[in-house]
Amino acid sequence: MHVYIYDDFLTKGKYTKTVNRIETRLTDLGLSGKIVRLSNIKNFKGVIHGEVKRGAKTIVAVGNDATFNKLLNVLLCDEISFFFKNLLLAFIPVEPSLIGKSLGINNYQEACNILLARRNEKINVAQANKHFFISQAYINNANTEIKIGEDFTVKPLEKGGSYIINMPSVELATQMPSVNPKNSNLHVYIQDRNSSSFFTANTVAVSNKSGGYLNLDNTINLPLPAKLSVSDKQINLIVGKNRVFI
Amino acid sequence: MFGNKDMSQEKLKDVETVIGPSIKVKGNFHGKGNIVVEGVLEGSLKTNASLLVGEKARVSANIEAKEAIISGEVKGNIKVQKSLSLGKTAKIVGDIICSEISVAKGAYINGHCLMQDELSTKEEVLTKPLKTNK
Repeated sequence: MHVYIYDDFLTKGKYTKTVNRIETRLTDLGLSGKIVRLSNIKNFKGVIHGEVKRGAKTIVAVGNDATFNKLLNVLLCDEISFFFKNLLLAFIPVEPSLIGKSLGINNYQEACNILLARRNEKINVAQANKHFFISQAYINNANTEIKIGEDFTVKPLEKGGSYIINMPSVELATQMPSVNPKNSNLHVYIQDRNSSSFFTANTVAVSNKSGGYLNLDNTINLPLPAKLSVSDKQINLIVGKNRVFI
Repeated sequence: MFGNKDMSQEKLKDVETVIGPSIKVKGNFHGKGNIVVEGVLEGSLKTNASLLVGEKARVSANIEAKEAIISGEVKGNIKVQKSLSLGKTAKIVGDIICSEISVAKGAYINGHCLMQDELSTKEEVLTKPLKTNK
């Protein structure tokens, strides 16, 4: 059974058309299922865990990157790890999305077709302190220091951004084929105006003299310092047909 | 790149690590794959594969690699199992051990250069620690 988790911002008028289109398309494809609207729910975790325990086979986040990340963190709780093994997680992004791009999903129309095709991949989930993420973490280069493994530190000397990547977007993956969410490594990609640097690591520690935040999956701002690694958790994700992990 | 087809940049296509020109790395950098250094590195650098040190790179470290192309500045000893290629802008202050070497006109070397056959160089790299060059 499909369970669709609608984020609360979808109740806003400007999303009414989009939501209607998604529902019509899903009905046409024979993918109708139970809809859980987060706008009416206070105990988000309890509701999701309840659906998983009642036998949901596919949970679909409908919303934005924050919707997906919130759902991911609730699903990866140890309490439901037994039920989680056979669960498929899918995503219908209603706006431009980093996670959508990482999964090979460009828009909600495409997402419905991808859901029907049901092509799934088991991938590693990354962790920053106690928070899970699947795509990437980002921090501005100014005053940032990145410790890679236990042996060396990297300091960007010019303005730009640093990305700690678990699952890259399709575009980035074609440039760097070794970046793969199926191996146990994170990949550090540091970019400035004229150049870029690239490292592979099991663990990464990020600090910044001026405090600052590490942005996870384009959603959560995690206060620094932060320790990142590939967690021991894996998820089954429905991905686009062009999304290949070598 | 330096007239040595075997050691062309094409060979470094599958690069594991790129230290860009605006990056400073401090510590013991031990890799298994190909490494490109264009920035600043202090500490030690070791890889089981190929190493490319670019023109503007400044490395203060003992280096160990399977093969290397160096066009930048290296302060430290260099041990290479196979071939070492020094470009015209290379500046080496330290001792060199390798089994093959090519030196372009203009390259600067201040240190001893010891040629060993591939096997003994390999054993040397694996067993004998480098002296610090200070």
